[in-house]
Amino acid sequence: MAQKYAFLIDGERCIFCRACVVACKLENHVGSQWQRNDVILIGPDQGKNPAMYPVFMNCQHCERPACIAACPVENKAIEKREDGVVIIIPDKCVGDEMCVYACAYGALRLSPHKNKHGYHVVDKCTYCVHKLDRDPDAPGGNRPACVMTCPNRALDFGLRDELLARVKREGRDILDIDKFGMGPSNIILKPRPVRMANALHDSDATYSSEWPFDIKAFRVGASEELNPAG
Amino acid sequence: MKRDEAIACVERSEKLKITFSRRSFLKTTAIGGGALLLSDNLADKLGLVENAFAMHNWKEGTTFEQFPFTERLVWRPEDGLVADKVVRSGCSFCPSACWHMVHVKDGRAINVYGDPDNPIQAAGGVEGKQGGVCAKGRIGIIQLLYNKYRITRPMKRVGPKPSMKFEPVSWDQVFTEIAQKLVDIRDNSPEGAKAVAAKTTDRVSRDNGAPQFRFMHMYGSPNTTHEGYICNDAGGIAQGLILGKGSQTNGFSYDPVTGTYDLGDSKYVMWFGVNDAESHPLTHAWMRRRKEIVKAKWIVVDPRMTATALSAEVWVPIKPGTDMALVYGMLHYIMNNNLIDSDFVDKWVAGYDELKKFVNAKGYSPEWAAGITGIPAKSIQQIAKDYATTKPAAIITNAGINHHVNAVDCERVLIFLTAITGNLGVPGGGHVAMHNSGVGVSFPPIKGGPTITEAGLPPQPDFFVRAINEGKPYKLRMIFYQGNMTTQNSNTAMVKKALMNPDVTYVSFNLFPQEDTEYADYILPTQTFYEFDHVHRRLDRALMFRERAVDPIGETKSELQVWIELAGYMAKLDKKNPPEYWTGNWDPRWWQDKRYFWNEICAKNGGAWSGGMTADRMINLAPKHMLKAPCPPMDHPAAKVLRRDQLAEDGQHPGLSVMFLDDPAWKLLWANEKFPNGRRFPNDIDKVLIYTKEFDDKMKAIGHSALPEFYTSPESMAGLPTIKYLNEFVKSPSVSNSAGGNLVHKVEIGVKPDPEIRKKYPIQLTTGRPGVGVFHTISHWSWSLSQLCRDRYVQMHPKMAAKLKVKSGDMVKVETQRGSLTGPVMVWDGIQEDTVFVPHTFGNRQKVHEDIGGKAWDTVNVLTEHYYDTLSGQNEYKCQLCKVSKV
Repeated sequence: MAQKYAFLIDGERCIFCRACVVACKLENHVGSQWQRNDVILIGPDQGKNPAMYPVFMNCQHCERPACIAACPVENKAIEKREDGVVIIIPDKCVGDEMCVYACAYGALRLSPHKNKHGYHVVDKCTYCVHKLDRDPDAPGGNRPACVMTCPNRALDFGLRDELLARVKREGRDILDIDKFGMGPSNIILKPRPVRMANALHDSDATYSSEWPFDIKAFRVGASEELNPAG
Repeated sequence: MKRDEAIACVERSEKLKITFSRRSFLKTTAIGGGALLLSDNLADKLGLVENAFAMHNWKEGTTFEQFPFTERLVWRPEDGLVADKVVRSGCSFCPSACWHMVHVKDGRAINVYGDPDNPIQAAGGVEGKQGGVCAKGRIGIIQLLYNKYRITRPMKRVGPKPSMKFEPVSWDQVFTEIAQKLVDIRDNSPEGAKAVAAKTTDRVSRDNGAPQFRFMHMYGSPNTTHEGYICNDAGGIAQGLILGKGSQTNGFSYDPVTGTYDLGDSKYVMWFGVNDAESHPLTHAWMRRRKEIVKAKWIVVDPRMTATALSAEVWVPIKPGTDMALVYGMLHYIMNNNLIDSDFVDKWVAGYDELKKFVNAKGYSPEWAAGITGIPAKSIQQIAKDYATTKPAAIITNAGINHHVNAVDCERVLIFLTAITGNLGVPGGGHVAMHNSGVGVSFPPIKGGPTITEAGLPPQPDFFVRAINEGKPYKLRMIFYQGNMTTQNSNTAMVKKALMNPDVTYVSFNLFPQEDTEYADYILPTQTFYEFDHVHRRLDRALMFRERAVDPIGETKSELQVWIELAGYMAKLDKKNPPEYWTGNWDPRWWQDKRYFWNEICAKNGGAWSGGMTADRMINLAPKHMLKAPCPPMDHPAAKVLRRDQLAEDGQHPGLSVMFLDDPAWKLLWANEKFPNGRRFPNDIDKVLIYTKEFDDKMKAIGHSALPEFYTSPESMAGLPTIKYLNEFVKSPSVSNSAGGNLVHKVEIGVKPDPEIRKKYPIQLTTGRPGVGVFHTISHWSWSLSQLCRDRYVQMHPKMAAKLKVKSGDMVKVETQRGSLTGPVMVWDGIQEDTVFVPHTFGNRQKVHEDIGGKAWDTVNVLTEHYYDTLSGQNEYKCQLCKVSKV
């Protein structure tokens, strides 16, 4: 089986500047009404744990994509490529949004773009597959636009096995966001043991490493409810 | 996808408009088609940027809804459009001062990438390929450049105020009329030249604002000011008062003089009222990387859980406006537990014993501070102990300290703390007041003409408003304003009242038809930082020369060009001075050839502080090394003491990253007759001036004192001691924008606030930046940045939300004595239970918000009253009283 691509997402390095969101818009002409990726903030839960943890969310390019299963088009308008990338074939899409509702990560959305049959098509992160064959020295490089722009290397992109080996080397834990058995590709690193103490209570206290993770939060667009930056 | 197809793709049906409305609560806000139509007509009137849109197949009459601005503002290699040159320019949104590689085709920017050679941006993406930039740098500037709302021609009012009825006129007409008006006011009005006031900004670029000061001084008016009194100048002013010189004391990136990474080597960083991650994202990213390497501990003092606190070990949720009490609590603990650096105190501090006596006599203990700040005494003791015993430790301050009535006094107490623990003048330490102004343009002295003897108004532009409305200390007749007067200044109703005054001529320098242009008599179209050569400044006094990247839009002019050309018109119309006075003191080459300007004018007149900073050196060394002031020329004694390995790559002075260094490289900069061997602290006593009788008398004369007692805003929840403005103007000891100095109110400190306000308005209101995508009002004219920051939300604690029976997205009304506004609730755990946060920078003319399906919100300054710090002119934006109710 061919090697599979994945993202490595380290919230410990994220400064919440959201350059990734904007870079994606520029590269993929996403427009101002919708975004394919998002940085969501987990927490804070004051009194229990005042800390926040930023998590980058995009399409997870799952092992068993719910969107493909849900697609009602006969030959499937969504395809999982050899390299693991899940892409939408715009000219097959009829825009009935079944995939939008099927995705547990909120990664798909009906777009203003129409295909040749006049249907609005569904839009999502493509891992910037159009860039992967580019010359690495071309403007913009040959990796996903969000990865190329991230100012603090909170995002990395590569072959999943290699990224997993690196995570193991560095002794970091991986956050399990696969509650639906879809097998998301992206590797989201757990925060290091909680270091923040809220001086409201006691500056010596450290809280348990139980983060207020709620699986429902891990969606593109969840920041609408959670984001301090609006 | 071909371009035509892309355009066709965004024809949206009504159904889709609803589908794409992302936020349910926004449906409650009216999004009128009529409003959009109005704005398009306005854009027509103001002169559309037709040429810039030629590449978009732009047609007259095309509306935003039909046109994919955000989709097609940059080109990928796949799109077949190849840049014919790549220009190394840079971003001037914030003072992280990132470098940009601008891809340009036919004089038009087609894409922007970060520069991988700048150490601050080096961690971007894949090593060595592309430098990091934040959301603003990548998309903001392009959307401001090629923007349908951009004002491209000078405008003259034809209709009543407030309205947007203007007609385009020629620069010749505008300059003639303005110059005539200036001559009339000076010669025929009872106030004379001082009735003309001007406020500039160096947010567009560093060297752009300084010519306004020169012009106004030549004209004879002391009322020339800049954005520092709105933003963050109090830290530098406090340092100037007691250390002799003020700016951000320590810097970023490798410093060859000390052989350290300076702030990057700090072991303990206290962020006091700084949301650095969202204010200066790239220098913050660098700090984060260094934090991991040196295993530094971070502590964030902020009433709110911000993005900066994401990576901190400790968050101190202090009550707004009480920072000074926290610092006194720390000082009390440090002094009484002998955690001071006695060597430093003995040698370099004047008035330590008086300070200790004062703190103990007043009872400013951690227990006392706990009652005021809401932070337990045990925590304050722990923080104090950690700060005093971890070396080097830095204190970083910004708007959270400066936007209070006690700004300078609180900064001074923080300097006391820095000094007595020996953290001043060491790499990785310092009182890092993120300062707005500092390094500037050095002009040659003005030849001939008047010397200003009269004192100017208090330095912040709020006094333009008050002088007009109250007639005190004297009336104004003309205002030049770069910025956005109606959203920046406190109490919008009062600002509007002043601008409606028929005797006042308001000249607005602007990029867009912002809120204040509704009251403008003339709009002068200015340029963005890609459109002209300029010099920008990073927070840490590093200067960088940026080349013009694109062709300027329409008939816009840079501010330097405007003042120089206006001087030419003054030469024709001013009969009191010979024409040579106006033409001889200015040179059009200054704006035509900025390299010449910085090589020959600024460096030659820069002396010990910036004499070594020529344009050629800045260009040759950038972006690997940036010259930081002070940077003397090599023939200066302070430069000769440097070893070879301490010099920059070109063998000359690299600039000092650490101020107040105990080293001849710093001290010799300040040598004079009294101190032939130089000074560490460039004041009269070469010491940190905490207390001397003489200084105390000077401060007492204006109502302050050398050892400041605790006070805060007149509108604090707990009814804490406050400030009272007496009906008497005195000369400011700390701010002087001309030879005549500046007036300020005499004050009384420590008075009891009016308890009645607290009964009627029981909730604390604090304001600040809405998010990383925002740089004041200007970024709200970018569609993508507005999308990152759509709503002027009202952030509140879940307990307050429960009490009001509201949830995120519900509309609430926030009311103060000044006015009211409504906005959607954002429930947020990381805020005090009795405090609401409403972000600033929004304005009711921000049509772009309407374009993306949102709403143009009123500014939060309709709520704020003008209380100010008389030592710095900073406004109280962060501690006022309000009430909140469900709509």
